[in-house]
Amino acid sequence: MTNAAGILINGFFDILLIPFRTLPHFWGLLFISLLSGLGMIMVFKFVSNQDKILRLRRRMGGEILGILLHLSSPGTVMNFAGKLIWSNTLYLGYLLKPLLVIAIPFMLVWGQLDARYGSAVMDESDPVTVTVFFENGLPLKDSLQIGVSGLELIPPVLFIDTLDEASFRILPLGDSLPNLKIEGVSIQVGRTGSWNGCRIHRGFDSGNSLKRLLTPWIARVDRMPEGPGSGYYSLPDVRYGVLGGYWSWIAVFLLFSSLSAIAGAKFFKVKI
Amino acid sequence: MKRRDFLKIAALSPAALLAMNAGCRGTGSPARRAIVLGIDGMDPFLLNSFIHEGVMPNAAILMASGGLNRLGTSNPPQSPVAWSNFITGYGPDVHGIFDFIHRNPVTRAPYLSTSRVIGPERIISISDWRLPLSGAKVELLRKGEPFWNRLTDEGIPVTMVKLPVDFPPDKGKAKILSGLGTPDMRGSQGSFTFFTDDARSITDTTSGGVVVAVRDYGDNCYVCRINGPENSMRAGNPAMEVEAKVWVDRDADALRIDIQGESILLAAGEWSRWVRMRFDAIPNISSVSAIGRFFVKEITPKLKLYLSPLNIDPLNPALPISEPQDYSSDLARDLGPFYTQGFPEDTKALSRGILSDEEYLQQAWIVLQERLDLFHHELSRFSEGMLFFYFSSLDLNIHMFYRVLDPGSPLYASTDPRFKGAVRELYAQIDRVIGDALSARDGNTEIIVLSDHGFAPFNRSFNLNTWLAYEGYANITSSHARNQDMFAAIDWASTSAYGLGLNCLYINRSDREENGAVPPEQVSDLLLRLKQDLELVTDPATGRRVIANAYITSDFYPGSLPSFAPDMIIGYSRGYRSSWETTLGSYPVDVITDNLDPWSGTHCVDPGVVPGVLLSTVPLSLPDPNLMDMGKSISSLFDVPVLPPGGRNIFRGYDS
Repeated sequence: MTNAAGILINGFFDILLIPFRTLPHFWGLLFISLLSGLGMIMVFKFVSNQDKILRLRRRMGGEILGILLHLSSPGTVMNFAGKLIWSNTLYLGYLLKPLLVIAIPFMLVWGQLDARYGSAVMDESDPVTVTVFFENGLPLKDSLQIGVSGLELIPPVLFIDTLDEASFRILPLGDSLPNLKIEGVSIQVGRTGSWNGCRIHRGFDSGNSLKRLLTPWIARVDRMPEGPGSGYYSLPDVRYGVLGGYWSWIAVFLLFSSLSAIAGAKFFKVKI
Repeated sequence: MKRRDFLKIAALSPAALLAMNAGCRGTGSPARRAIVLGIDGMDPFLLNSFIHEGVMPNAAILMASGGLNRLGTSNPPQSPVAWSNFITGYGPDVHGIFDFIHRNPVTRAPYLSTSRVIGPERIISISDWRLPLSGAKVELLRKGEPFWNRLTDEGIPVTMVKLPVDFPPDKGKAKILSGLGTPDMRGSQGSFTFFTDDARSITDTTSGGVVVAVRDYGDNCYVCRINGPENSMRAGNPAMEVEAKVWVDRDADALRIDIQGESILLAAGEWSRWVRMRFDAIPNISSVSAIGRFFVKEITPKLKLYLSPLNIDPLNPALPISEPQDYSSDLARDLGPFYTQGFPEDTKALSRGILSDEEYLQQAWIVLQERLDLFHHELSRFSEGMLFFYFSSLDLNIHMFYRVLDPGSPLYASTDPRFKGAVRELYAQIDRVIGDALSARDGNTEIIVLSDHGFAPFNRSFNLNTWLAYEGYANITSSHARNQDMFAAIDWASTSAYGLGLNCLYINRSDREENGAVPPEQVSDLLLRLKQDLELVTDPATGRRVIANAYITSDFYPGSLPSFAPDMIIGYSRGYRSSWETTLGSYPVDVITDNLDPWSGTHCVDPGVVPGVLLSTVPLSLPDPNLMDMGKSISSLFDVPVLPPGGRNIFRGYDS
């Protein structure tokens, strides 16, 4: 079930980003950010009680005015301030329902963006450190079987007994999609496609919980008794040149989705 | 008119001839492009020798065009002084840089001569926190107007990459990436960190870096705390810290460094790529980014893990290292992180035995490779104006490997013969750079290769302060303190002169220094006596004169001098230099000692001993070119109405 939902969500975003496959990463990120801001403001409009929010905002305006007009009367100011605090509490209550509705798609979008725009793709000149965790204890050093395809394995393999972890380095070879096979467990590494905006795997896991939908940068693997249960690849973060600075995808997303939400609220007359 | 007729007439008209000629370089026609390669420390004698050996075919091509010229250097011939002469067209009396180190004229406290940090003016203190209400500033101490302002004022694009003595970079229209003088994140000129559990390596006296003792408690893990810049937002300015966990596998002779969510696996003898670190001043609110490279020197039997000085991250610089500010970020985005500190080759790590010759050369090669990448990147997009590119590799590596060239070096015999060709290989690499510049040349491009000074051996160290004490110019009161803190051993009331910096001597004037002993009216006589005595100093081991010339600064630079200017500039003879102890004002026992530091080459001698080099596609009109002439001469290659005031125009055909 989780697996099918994951495939659906990943596929949906893959389709959504088709026009941006040959463009620099930033444009796909910008598109999703703007779309998300717009989408969220529309959800907010239809889920929230716009009339109540409008009335409450007017009341709050009145209460602020009341404070400003009666500054010489502490009792009145306190009275209005108390009302204003209560109105704010009510306002937060009104926001709760739309925020709860928005939360799940927001987290899905967040996960997808992190998977697609959070990490650099593997570079042929820069080895990536892979760390794998063996839930049932490390295999013997000489017996660990690591197979690679589309990759070069760079020795040595490092064993950390106290953590039940083994680490090694890989380098991508050519354009083929890289794959690892450790003790019979087949693992996707790095990018899942050859286009810009595809998901980039930064780790793997054999679990099958709902959390997987929110972490699409983790490849799912089949559990094998002697094989590793999870692992991660140390891929560098990506920075995007925006407005003279170099920003993380999170900063780009928050800025442009907010701008889009504000513009959407103005255009569609959404009361927030 | 038919097209053919037009072409026929046009081809015959003088205007057309001129127009056609504009595509080729004709004497006196304005150049559209000038590529200036600043090769710190390129020596005319070594260059000549390598050209004749056939190691430098491209330099030979340039030599055939404009000759191999000795370029007059600054006095003293130190890089910050010399490059300031180049930038401004004037000497230290105008640009104010007399040495790497200056001193406060009142307190005698030494400071870096090229830049200083000025803290915020107003701060709010809340408990341990210090919240600045205004920003801190970094100030460039070099004065004078850069010559390229005349070019940019006329709309001629100027790009200066790794420009020395320009940190923070001049605000203007030129594109600048700061070079020599740019500090690391700890504010020093390069401070490595060495993590080890080897008791023999743990010492408090390692300068140029810190040795940090670490321990494996049986879980094959070392917790390494990396000290970053000072946190000015906390009382007492404690260093910001990043923790790295280092997991070792002694069987595999490898380790894994886990740092801020990143893992780096390295085998013994390997260098890491640049690792980005975030130091939090206020967690999640205010942080600075730094970059460093790890080197695994040894894992078994003892951990020896070197971390390069923490460099300012060019992608997200904590201090201004480029102009415009996003220039360094653009370069880092295109090429990846690179060394931003002014002295990228870690000579201190070699001097202190933290890196071996081989390991040092690996690191120096990384620096050179990065520099070459930067150069090719800029050269490939250079279309108009002036491109200046600075290479530090010759200078710093010859400082460390002059011992392989000079049989007179105390370390000549003990240096592994494998490294005897290191200097030749470096010159050959620089020649390939010259070749790249020549390949990019079209009819409207001039190529200029220049160095700030040459090189001389540094075989014997002269303890200037000790000599002053033995000759009665200084009074040591505490013999046990003579090698300790600066001037801890001195009675100022009976001391008339002191040495500080590499070539500078100061009179302890009663009208300037705190507790100064020499009245102003006695200064002239004292300087004359000192000059005479210093120029007579001979080395008992060799019978040679130690000091070629002792220059009285006010005679050499007539006119008004700043109060921080030295009273005398010491021009050492070939083979001699002031000791490291002199530079910081201490008093070892012996006056002259063998130099046993791998830092075996020097240029901090008499300027006549170490001229620089000038190679150019343009022939010269004057026989004695000087660094101060270069700004005016380079500017003359372009069509600018007013040339910079400093220096002379030395380029034949452009000197009308």
